[in-house]
Order: sequence, then C-alpha cells, then structure tokens
Amino acid sequence: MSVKYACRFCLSLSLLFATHVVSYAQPSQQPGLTLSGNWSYTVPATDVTEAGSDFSGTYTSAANQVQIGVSNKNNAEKNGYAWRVSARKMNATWDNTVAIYIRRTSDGAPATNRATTITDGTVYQQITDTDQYFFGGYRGSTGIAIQYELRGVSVVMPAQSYSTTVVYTVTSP
Amino acid sequence: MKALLIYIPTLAVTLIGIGIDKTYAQPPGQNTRNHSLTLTINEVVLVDLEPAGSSIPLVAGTPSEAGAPVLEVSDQSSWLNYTSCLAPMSPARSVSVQLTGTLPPGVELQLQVSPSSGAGQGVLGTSAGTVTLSGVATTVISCIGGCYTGNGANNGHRLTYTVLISNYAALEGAGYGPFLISYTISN
Repeated sequence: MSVKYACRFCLSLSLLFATHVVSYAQPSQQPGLTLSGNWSYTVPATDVTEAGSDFSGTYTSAANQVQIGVSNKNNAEKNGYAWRVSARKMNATWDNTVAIYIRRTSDGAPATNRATTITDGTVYQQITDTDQYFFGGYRGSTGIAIQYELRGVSVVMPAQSYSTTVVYTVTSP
Repeated sequence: MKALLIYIPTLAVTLIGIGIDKTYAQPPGQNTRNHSLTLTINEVVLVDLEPAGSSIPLVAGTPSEAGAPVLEVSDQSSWLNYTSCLAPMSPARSVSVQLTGTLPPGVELQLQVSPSSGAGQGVLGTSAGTVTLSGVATTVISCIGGCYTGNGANNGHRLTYTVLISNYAALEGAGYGPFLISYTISN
C-alpha cells in the first residue's frame, strides 16, 4: 500500500470513531424521584359500634405516611428545573369498590440552597389505574409528605387482605 | 519511517475523542418509584335486639262473651339486627332462638320472623317463618353472608311473639314468667 492511500484510510477511520462516540455525549435532563414509606391498614373490630351497622368506611393515614423527593439533574437555568409528578395504582388483589385518595400535606425542603416552588396536590384526589397529574414544581425538593385515605370499606366485602401498588412518576413538562 | 509519522497523530486523535466522550455521558435519573398499599379486613359478627333492653309483657285477653275463647295476644315491637363479615371460605351464618323457663300448661309461645327490611345491604339472611319456642335452640334465620341489617327498630327482621292456647283443659289462671328468649348468631 502507498503512504498516500494509507493516510486516507487512517483519517477515515478516525473520523468514524469520532462521529460514533460524539453521538452518545448527551447530558441527561431527566428529573429523578425518591420515595420512602408505604401504608398497611387493618380495620379494627371495634369499628362496628353496634349490631346492624357497617364499618365507618373511611380511613386516613398519617399526614406524612409516604415522602417523596424530586431532583433535577440539569443544572442550567433554562426551564430545566420544572417537573411534574403523576400517580396511579397497579392492582394486585385490590377491590375497586374501595377508592384510594391521595393528597400532598407539605412542600418538603429545598434540595439545594435555591428556593423551590411546589403547586397543586393539596386536595384529596382519587388515584386510578391511569397516570394522573398530582403536583408540580420548580427545582428539587426533598421530604414532600403524602397522605392517603381509603373510602368505601364495607362488611359486605370478604374478610381478607387486599393489596395494590401506588406508582409515582416524575417528568419534565 | 515516513509512513510511521503519519499513523501516530491519527491514532492519538481517536483516543482523545473516546476519553472526552466518557466524561460527558450520564445515565437518566430514576423517574418512577412505587410502594405497596395493603388493607386488611377481619371477620365480624354481631347480633342484638331493638329496642335495646326491652321486655315484652304478654297478657292473654279476656273474652267479652261467655263461651268465647281466650283472646290471643301478640307483640311485634322487637327487631333483630346483625352485622356479618365473612372470610371467603367461611360457611354462611345463621341465627337460632332458645327459650329459657317453663311455660304454663296448655300455652305455647310462637315466634314469627319477618323477611329483612330497612337499610341493610349485602347477603342478608332468609327467615324460617314461624316457629314454636322451646328450650331447644331452633334456627330462625339462615344463609347470612357479608351484610348488615341497619341499626335500630324498623331495620333487620321484625319479631312477632304470639301466645296460643293449645290445651284449654290444662289452663291455670295465674301469672307466669319472666321467660328469657335468647338469640345466637353463628357459623
């Protein structure tokens, strides 16, 4: 092979590697989510106060039963800090006559030394099997408190355990 | 030698490009989290009578004409309420009634249990109709599933007690009682 042709081959090969590698170099703008806690509730036998009555039917968790943290990995102030949290449930053995309601009971704390903004989610809303908007914000926050309420529990339901999975998803608007 | 000088810079450019790329590459954040939510319901079984704490005076009526039979007397002021929550494999529940005490000779005490009515929901029980009370427990309501009758009078099953004269020859003019009528709900 002549030196001239060999150089062209090497230059083409280098450009191929450079182009291929540069296509992976994309900084992430995906918000991050953390979660702690869960809820397990047993209806007390004393909830039926007199023969002939049903359960009271509505049960409420602690105000901070679950805590959510939101972070945004994009450090640029170009709408990169805005995020939205949605919620849904995935039934395992749940009875859909019992409705699950959620609400946000705190703003949490800023994740950095910059002020944060959180809106919506403070009024109970029912979660379903479809993702629904819950609350949104600007910049990261930690320890956002979530409270649950079960409605529609009745003695006409079989006496057993029912379970579901509550799923939270954070996205950029 | 001339060919060797050309190859070295090309290789160096390629290596530098790979190094810079690895510095910028970051995986996406975890944007979905989940947790479990569990509700547990235990079995419940309760029965009571309404109005609470009431006793029922039954006084046989005096006929208005000689030769007429003694008037039967009834009372239907009582209601039976119950709450039942069953596990999936548990059998249905029933209510039985039992009389404590000895009735006067020639007298029977009958109980009629009405079908359920009022504010109840679920699988309410089926009435056995009319039974004669005795010291032997007798089923008066069966097939009770997960349900509640509603609380208080005018909910659940109305109870009608009737005193019948079964043998006039054995009658004695005197007061008898009190008698205790017990209701039990069970699987």
